[in-house]
Amino acid sequence: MRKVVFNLKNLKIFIFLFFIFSIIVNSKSEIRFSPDKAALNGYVKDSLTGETVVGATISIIGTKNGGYTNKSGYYSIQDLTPGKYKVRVSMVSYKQFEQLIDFKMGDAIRKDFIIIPSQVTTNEVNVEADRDIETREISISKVNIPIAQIKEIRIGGESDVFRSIQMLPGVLTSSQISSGLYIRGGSPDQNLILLDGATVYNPTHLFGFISTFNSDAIKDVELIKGGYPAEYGSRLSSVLNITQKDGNRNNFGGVASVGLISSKLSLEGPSPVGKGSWFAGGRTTYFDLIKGAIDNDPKTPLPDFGFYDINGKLTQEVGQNDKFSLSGFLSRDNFNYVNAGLDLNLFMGNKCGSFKWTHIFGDKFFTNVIISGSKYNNGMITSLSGYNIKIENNIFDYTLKANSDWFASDNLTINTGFEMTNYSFEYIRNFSGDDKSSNEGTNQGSRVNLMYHDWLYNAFIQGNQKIGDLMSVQAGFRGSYWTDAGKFLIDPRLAYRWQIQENFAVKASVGMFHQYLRLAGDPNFSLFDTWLQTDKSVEPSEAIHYILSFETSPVEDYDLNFDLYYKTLSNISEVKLTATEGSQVKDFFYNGKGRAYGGEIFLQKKVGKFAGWMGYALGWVEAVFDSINSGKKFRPKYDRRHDFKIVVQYQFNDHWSFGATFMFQTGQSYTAATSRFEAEMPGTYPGEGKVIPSDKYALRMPPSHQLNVNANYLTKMFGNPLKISLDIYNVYNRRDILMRTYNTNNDVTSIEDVKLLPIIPTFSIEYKF
Amino acid sequence: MKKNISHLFLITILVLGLNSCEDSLPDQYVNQTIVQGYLIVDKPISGILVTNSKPIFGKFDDISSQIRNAKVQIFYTNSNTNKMDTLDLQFRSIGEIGYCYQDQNLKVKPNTLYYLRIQLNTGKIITGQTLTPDRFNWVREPLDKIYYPLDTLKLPRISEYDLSWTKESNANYYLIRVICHDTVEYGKYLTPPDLNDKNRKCYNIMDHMDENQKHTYYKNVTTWNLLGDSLTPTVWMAFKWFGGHTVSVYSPDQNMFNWFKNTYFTNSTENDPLLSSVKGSGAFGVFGSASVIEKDIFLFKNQK
Repeated sequence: MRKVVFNLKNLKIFIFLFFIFSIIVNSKSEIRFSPDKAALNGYVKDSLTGETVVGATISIIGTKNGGYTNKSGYYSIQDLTPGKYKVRVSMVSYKQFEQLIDFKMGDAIRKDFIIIPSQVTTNEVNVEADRDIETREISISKVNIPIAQIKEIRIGGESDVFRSIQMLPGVLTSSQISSGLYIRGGSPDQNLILLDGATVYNPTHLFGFISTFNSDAIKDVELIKGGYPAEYGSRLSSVLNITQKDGNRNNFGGVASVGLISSKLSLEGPSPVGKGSWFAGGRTTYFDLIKGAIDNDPKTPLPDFGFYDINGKLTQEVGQNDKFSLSGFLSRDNFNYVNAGLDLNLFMGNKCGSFKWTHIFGDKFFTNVIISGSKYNNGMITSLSGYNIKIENNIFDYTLKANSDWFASDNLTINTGFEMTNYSFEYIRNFSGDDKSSNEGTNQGSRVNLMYHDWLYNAFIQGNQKIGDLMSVQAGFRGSYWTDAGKFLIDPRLAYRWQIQENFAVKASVGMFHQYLRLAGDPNFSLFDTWLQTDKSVEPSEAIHYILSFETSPVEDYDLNFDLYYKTLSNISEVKLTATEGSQVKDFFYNGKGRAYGGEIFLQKKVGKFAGWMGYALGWVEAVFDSINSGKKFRPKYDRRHDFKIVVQYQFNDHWSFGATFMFQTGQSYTAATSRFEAEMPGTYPGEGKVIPSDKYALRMPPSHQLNVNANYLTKMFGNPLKISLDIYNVYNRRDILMRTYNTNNDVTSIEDVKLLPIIPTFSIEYKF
Repeated sequence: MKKNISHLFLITILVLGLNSCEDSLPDQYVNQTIVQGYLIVDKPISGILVTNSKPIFGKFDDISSQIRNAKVQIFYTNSNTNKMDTLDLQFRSIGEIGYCYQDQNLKVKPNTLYYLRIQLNTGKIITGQTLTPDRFNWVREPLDKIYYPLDTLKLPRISEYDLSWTKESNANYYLIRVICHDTVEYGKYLTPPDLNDKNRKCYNIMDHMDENQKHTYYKNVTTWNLLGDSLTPTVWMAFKWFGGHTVSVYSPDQNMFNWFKNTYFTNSTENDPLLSSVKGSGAFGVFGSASVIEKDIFLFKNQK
């Protein structure tokens, strides 16, 4: 047991580094643009809701100047030659907006653009993104799925962010009932999941069946599958950055929906003091109601099961340059089963909150300061006729981070930031039979109460430099220091983009990534996910990504990407399932290394009546652990060679829309057996039938494939939109295999497959007001 | 015609594509030698099993898997002579099956290091070693007669049936074994006897299992469980039948504890070779030891 207290010396070093960054950046920001030039900056907002729009492109027609809005919806364009220009604002799902602006010498114009969502018109929108602007956006392996499309990808009538992401090539799952994301050979714990800047550790409901993110509460979803920039860190594989809705700044409104799994209600409206908004959304199951109607035999009781999640956000602008937002997220799953002396309770929940202050310094310097907290809690409390068992894992983190975008010139943007996080990891285990709580630091075999306190300090700097008209480079590094492990590490990141032709760009990226957290869990069910930090007994996990990407647009409105990747992984971990004692991380994990490589093709159409994407990924994942598979190389369970996916959505007319998703994947790996024996304990006869495994995960199960379709009818009730949806999950009733086991209960061994869900038709209704 | 052929071709490709990725099940049999031996303090040396693993497909035959002609020896330092004694074990096919030491008066000593050496007739050598735990004793032993609760839905804790024993300083876990001695004719044990009541199965959560699961559950008269301390309530799920039982608490060495985990904590396809405590090419298993305390009890049907 190691207990680490606040390390003042290290904090001083980091604060010093940050101030150095800040001084440099602030001093430079005082350098105004050339007096013979002009500048433009501001926000892009939605006309209906007043929400800021992420990722909009702003083009100064007739020049090569331009920019795009950041996660806060802010843009800044420098070094404009004075004159009258048409400024065009483009964004998927919005009508293109143009305005003539007269830029005079020395002007620094603050301009917030209001753009109109395309849904309010029946005309198809033609997005014409300026290629000169795109050359600045290196964005390797980054995918944005429009929320409108996410809402049309449903399971059991439930739209789900993770289900949508799973339909991207190169994103795999352990099964169709798991929402864990295996991205380019990385396991779910290697994905950094951020909600308004706060880390979410296990964002799932129903043992991992669906994610906790209510699609009605989300504004933007961005997935970076690898080679992510220096502003992100602490994970090996990918970043999933989710932004909650600010709420409608113009009008009060809401959405209510009823589905098979849950019902949702969200409300939003303007701030009573103006220039702000609020949003509140919630979702809950009603299994208790169903159970109450059908459960009447106390000898065969049904379990109590339920989940809920709540999202909330307040946003307030103060003046033109300051914006404050307070957001919160709460999710909880609870399972309880009582029968014949057994009282089993399983629970899991996330609580996240963040306070964000956005300030614009002049026209070149944009800053965010975020204070956030996150709590993850899961566990099991069981009583068997008074013999009590308890396992509980808690993580608390409190983070202060600040970052800034310095629009130094039209060709150079510099991002800097620092982050300090206080972590507390608590792992409580009591197999002793009593229900007495144990003191922090207890480690007596069956009674464990480990509490680790740690500080993490991060700082990053990255620059995005446009070189000529066709090339841009993004270079940066991220330094991190974990007090407990006493490790200071530097992660360099480099990305490059070359616009070879107007319609064809090549991108490349290389970067190093470190991770300190380790997840002990079951790949099939996420309920028992237990997070532990890296301590002195093991080295932090490390990955190096090499990515080469080709981007083109073969036909108008269609984007085609081809990515090649190679990733090395070291000091990665596999949980010791039979570990019952230990005080160090190495006691609970095997340590090894691995690599992943492959290619992905992704064709996407974001706009128009016919939208969707098609993707194919070919990938390999390999791992080597001294203690697993006799030290021989093996492929993890989730390694699937081929991965083919199609998502299509078609707006037939004003009332009807249709959608379908199809996926085909190589079967997942399983471990076969070479012979059988009976395991004996004294006095046990017959023994327990056991099989002797062959090489780990050496064989493959049949391929997985599935077709889901949906039809939506949009009408009006009391003058407001009402949408009725029919979803058919697994249309041709393909029963994929969750796991394959050997049944040795009888003299003749049989192979048993646990099969996944059959065809499930569901209705859901959504009403907007 | 051409169109039909092209359709047929496409369908063939599709079918092949959908099915080409599955591997066929392996039918290769790889023989392994499994050793399972436990030295129980103050008990004679017996029941050491040396077996061959059997092919997956085909009927499993416990008897034919036994290796009866191995040379099995145990070595230990005799505390009286301070010299290493060698015990040659013989195979016994009746009673407790396995290799045993002929002199049943020789008992396993506590806190003593024992070595195992097995030589198969193929020349293969398998070895293991175990340090026997110290003795321990009941603090509160099971009552001679205990009564199943009337409330079979809650099956509550009854504190008068709690068990406890002396805790060894280095023992973190104990194992509890419950053996039922007679699974038939319960009625004659009732007071007064009720010869019409021959239902000896306890009411518990297993009542709701399907027939196949019940068959598996009831085929073994012994249950093993893990205990994390030196005190436990009587957990009713440990009983499958009413009647006479032996309740034993084991203080295992690490080898036996690991094999317990391998037997009950992993599913059939996750036999973990790292939990083995014997050494030898193509061999694994357990050579472990334990101290034990035992008590015979009688579990009455819920009549009070």
